[in-house]
Amino acid sequence: MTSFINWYVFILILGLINLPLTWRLFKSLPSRGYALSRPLGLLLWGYLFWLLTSLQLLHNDLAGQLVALGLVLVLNLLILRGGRAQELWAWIKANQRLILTTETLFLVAFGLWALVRAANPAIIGTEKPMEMAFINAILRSPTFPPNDPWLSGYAISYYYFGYVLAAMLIRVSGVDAAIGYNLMSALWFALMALGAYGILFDLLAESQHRKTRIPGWVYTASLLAPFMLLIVSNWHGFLDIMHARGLFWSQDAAGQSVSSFWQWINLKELTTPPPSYSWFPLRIGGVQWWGASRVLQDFTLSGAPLEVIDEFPFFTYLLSDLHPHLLAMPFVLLAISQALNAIRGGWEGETRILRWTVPWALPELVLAVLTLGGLAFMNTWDFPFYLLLIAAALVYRQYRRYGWSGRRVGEFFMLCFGLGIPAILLYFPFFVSFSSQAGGILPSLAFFTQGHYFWIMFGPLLLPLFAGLLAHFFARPQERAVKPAFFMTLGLFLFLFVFSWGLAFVGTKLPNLNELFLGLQGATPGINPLWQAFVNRLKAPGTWITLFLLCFLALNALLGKHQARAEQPESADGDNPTYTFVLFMLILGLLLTLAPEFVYLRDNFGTRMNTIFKFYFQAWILWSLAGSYMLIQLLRSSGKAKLLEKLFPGIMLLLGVIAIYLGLYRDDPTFQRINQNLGALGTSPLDYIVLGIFALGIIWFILELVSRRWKMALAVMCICGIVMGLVYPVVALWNKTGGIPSADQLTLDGTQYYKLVWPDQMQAVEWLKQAPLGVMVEAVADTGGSYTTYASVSTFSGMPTVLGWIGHEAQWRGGYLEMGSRQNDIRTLYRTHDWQEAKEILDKYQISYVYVGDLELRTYPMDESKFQEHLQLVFDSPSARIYAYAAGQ
Amino acid sequence: MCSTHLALESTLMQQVNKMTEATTNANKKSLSANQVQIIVIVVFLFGLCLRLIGLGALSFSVEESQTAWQALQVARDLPAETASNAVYQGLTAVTLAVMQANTFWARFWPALAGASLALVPLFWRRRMTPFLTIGLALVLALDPVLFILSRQIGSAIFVLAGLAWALTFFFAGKPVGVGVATAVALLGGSWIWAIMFIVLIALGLAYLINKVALKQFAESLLNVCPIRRSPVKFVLGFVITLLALATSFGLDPSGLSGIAGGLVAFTHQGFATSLVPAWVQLYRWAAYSICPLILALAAAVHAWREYAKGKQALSILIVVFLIGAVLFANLGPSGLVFVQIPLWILALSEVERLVKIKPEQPWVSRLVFIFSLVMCVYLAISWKSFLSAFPGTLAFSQQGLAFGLGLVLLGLIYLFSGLGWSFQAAGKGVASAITLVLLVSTLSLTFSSTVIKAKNAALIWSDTPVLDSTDEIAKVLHEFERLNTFEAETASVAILDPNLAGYAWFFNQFGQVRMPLVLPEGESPEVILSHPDWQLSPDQPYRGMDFIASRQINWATLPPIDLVNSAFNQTFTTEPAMAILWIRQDLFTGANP
Repeated sequence: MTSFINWYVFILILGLINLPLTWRLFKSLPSRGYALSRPLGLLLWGYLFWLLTSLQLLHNDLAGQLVALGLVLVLNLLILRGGRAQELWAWIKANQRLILTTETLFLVAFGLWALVRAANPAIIGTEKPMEMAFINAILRSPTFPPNDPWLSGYAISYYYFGYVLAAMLIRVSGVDAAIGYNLMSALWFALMALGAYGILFDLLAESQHRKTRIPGWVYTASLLAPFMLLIVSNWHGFLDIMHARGLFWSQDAAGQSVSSFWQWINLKELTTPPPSYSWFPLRIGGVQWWGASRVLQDFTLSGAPLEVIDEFPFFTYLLSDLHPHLLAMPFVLLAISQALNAIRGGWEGETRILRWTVPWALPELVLAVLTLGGLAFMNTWDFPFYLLLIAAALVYRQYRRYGWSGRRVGEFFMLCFGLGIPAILLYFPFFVSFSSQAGGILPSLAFFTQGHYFWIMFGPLLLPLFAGLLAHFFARPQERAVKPAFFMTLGLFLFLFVFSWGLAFVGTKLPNLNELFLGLQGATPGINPLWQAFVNRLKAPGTWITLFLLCFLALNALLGKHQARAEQPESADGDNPTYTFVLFMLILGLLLTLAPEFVYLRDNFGTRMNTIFKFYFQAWILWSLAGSYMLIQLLRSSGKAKLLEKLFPGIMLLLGVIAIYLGLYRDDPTFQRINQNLGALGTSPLDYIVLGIFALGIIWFILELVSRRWKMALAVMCICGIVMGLVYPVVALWNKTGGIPSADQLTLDGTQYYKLVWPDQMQAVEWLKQAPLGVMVEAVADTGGSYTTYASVSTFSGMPTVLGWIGHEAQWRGGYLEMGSRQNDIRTLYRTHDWQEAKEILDKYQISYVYVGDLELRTYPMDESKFQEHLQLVFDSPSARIYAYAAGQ
Repeated sequence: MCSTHLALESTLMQQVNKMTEATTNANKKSLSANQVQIIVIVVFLFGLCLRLIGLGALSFSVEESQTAWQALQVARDLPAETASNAVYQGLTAVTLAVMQANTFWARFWPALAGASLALVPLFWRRRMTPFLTIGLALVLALDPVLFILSRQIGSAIFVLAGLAWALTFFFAGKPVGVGVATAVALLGGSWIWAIMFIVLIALGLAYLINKVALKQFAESLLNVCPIRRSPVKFVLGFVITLLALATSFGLDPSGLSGIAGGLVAFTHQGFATSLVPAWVQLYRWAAYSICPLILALAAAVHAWREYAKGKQALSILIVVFLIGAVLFANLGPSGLVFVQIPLWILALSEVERLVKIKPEQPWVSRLVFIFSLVMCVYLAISWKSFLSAFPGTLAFSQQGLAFGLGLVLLGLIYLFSGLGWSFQAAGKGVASAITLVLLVSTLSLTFSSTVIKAKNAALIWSDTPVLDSTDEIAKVLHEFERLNTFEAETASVAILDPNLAGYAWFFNQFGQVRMPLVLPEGESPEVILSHPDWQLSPDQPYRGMDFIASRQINWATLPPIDLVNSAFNQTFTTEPAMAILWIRQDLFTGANP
């Protein structure tokens, strides 16, 4: 609890310190970026600390961090000069409701997720140990770049800025790193909630720009964005409970359970019948909540399935690996807000750079460069996406001022370079030594997303987007641009198709690439892979159709506004670029989902796994924000319901429940047939309640249509989709946390599990934490050790070990070159009976501490006597020992 | 002004105005401004010289030694930790790089900072009487608390000096000076943050009690604030000083972290429970400040009775600083230095009041003074014996009786003189005698602490163990060097116990001092320092010498009376910690020590 309070208070103070800057920079937003002062403060503070430490001007310690914080404070105090303090104070007094709502949301989100983490805090499994190792290594490193915890003598070769921020928060709050790890997840969750709230608030409040006061409903409605972004999940959870309940399963003649539905949908773990019928999905020997992140499957041309990662925010936070895509999320929202600020004219001003004068203010430019560079350093994939968004927003602003011309295209590219290059230069000390895993672009010939996978993945978001666009299409005939939109969409698809297939054609013709390329795609000899891939696409065109329609509708809305503006330049509505910005977010999300249908980035895996993972994740963020806005507008524009219409859904629900209940219990053959078709459904009272709820949805939808409130009908459809997306959070949360633990079981200490299972090892870790920094050695798994408890001593102590998870090191460094013979040397060190041989290895890697624990004894046929004879035993416990060695000079 | 005005401003302005008036009158028949200036400079030089006496031979505490070692690391361009006292590290590192690395230079800058306080009254002389100017300079130069703590490394003396000079420059209208002095105070260690913390709380309370008065006070300060007139000068002075000192004038660019080093130390240690009980802070302060304490008490009583706002504010300030020193006792004893300046101002105002009393029969006053002086000297002697015998012995009862009789006699002198001639004359005589004896007794502590062999002061004013046997070790090592068995510049030392890291400083002449966890394989440094439990294997060619590494007072079990007693008697019960000094066998010759 104290740790939680420490973090809360510190982040609150940081937000307050940085408020003047945020308030000054986001001057065109109604919220003045209040919700962003925390992430912006973190970014600025982290950047200053990282840069000054990398330049050897600060030590990597608390004092260094406080100096950096002092600089942020000074910067903010300077902003308050010239009467701005009074202005800010007046703004605070006038916006108490916004501040109160934001702070409440932050506290609730932070507390809620801290509670979730406290219910399952263990830093074990997946890549949590890796992230913990990075954080501890950063905490122990005297300077930057930080030590690689799993390859002594080298610096981390990974985009590590997010871990620097985590380490800074852990250090400044004085909490243990293993507690900080879980608080970090909770804090980021809260920052995301805040950022999403702020963006939707600004969008909704701006759309009310003609009113002097922001209407009260905006404060409440804006809560939809964090809800859509962080809680609503894909439809896997919904399908999972249907599957678990035995829906669509029937018995064949041989008495086997069969289901054409589940075979067609082909979701991992759901193609076989459930072990028992229940409303609660279970996996015997598996993890129920995991499946939602593996909805998509790719298939090679020969039909072999390939794993694809399709995380979405709720899953990411539930898993709570502090991976770069999670760590970058609040700053992604910061970048989106900057783009919104830009499109609203918040950047206007003049900056002279050498001989050129640009029509944007310097502070805003600097902030954008800082944010974009930070994104590149935190999660490199995000950098180009948000660079495009900001550049598009700025160009749109220019278009509004000066109209459309070819010059705008030039400006767009100039902005991409003008912002992108300085962003990289600003973080030069990192990029100069960073080697990316990405090895170019490959055509995605065989790999594509089947339509039903795409809808299961994005259904809750696609519904509001389609609904919003359709509403716009039908409600504003004057803003239609059907032809240009259609041809542009077609052109885009054709361009991507030609590009991808052209690239593939070249790939198949070049001898050097042919084997590699076709091998990755799983081409069958003798069959033209290009044709086969094309035919496969035509057999499952769902995603193409969906994206084509979405693209057409979005472009129609965008170009339609352009047309309307051209025809009526003084139109009052034309002054409000909010909807355009929403369309920008929608289109960017669309491009992120469309692009992997044709191309993907080549990495160590050779498949689309990471491309889909990173692209779809950003698409989720963008679409959840755009979808929230569209749903709110749909609800707002659908008109008021009459009293009877308000009561009707409830009445129908009641009737539906009664009807189904009675029906299913009758011996009527019709109902028996329904019963049979519904599998095991109908044997539990809960079944009727669930069915009743769905009946309500359908009836409500019909009612709205009958009432000619078709916008409301669309909204109902969206709400149903969202409700389906809420099944996963409920079920997965329950599964992941094992129900609601009692208060005494709650802890944020991520090492508690280790302390229970390997108490001696954790005592050794504590000893190493206090010991002078040196190189340690512990066992390395023959199979590489990834995702296991190998290297956990270095992970939790921050002491660099000679070698940790081999597979991950290879991924980060693009090969095994740096690892050399370390794996064999470590094996020799533990196994050899010859002290001289062991000594040579100790000297070679400058090893100071030799760790001998259970894992070492199990991994190697150990000869410990040489250590006992020649080294000093500095830590001793029944199942863990540490020997100290000082290498000769 | 509101009646309950919290009058810190009065302290600084009204007091000043009164004094200016008094000065104008007094100057007619007393010392000229130039004479005052010369006297103050002489006092400063005297204070400085006194501080430099035996500076290189003072015992180091563990904390001091570590701080000095870090400065030496910077001077040698070796990695150093973030300084918690960046002013010290910055100035000393440069000095050690230029001059010889020895204890004198390691202690020089704090001593100079402490001595510089004596110059502060010089800048206020136009606003003070010559008596107060010279008196203040004298006590700031010779006050035992300020004196001892200014000869310590890592004390709050830089903070005090920085704040005193910042305030001085503030009222003198020198923005650059304010900037420089503020930077020095900010880099002076953890106490600046403790003081800011406690003063902010005090101001918060004052705001709650009387908002209007505080606002008026703030406005009056703003009106005379030189920073408002030329902020650039202030910023330049501040930033350049900050950067120069934190980076040790460019020797250690990463030393910029040291800007927040004091804050880190404050947050880590300030709120932790002190190993030294709170009463120790008060007792050692009282034992070393008996004279100003009694005088200031008298002055405070007068001030509250006569409603003298300036003095009331000073007395509040003393209480606030004292609370701060007790509250943050874990930061060490040096927080008490902040009490001394307001304490002495108050005390001197009382002395001045005493001096100004003009009895109708001066000869009675003089006679009473002589008798009282004799009695006071007698009381001082019997007080010392009384303390030595304490408690519960026969000697204690005898001494107690003797002391009690002495007090009665002093009372009778006052009573009879008053009844016979004049209570005014009698009072002045008795008070003057008491003041003089107290002053002499207090200042004697300053002089006694300059005795080279006296480790007493170092022990009383150190909360960390004081290193011992350094002379013996130095002698042994010097002997080896004299016999040409090794040269320190090329020899190496291995300190194998992290608890002995404080000893690193004493090997500052050695070419290489390392602190490995175990003895490096195949290496045989000339000297090894280890924990007594650590033993070399028989085949390793070293000879060991047990010695007392450090001593520490067990504050938790120390009776208060012992503390007071030891302040005068130069004796202390300490707990020793042992270590072994290993010297390589081949360095021993036939004439080895």
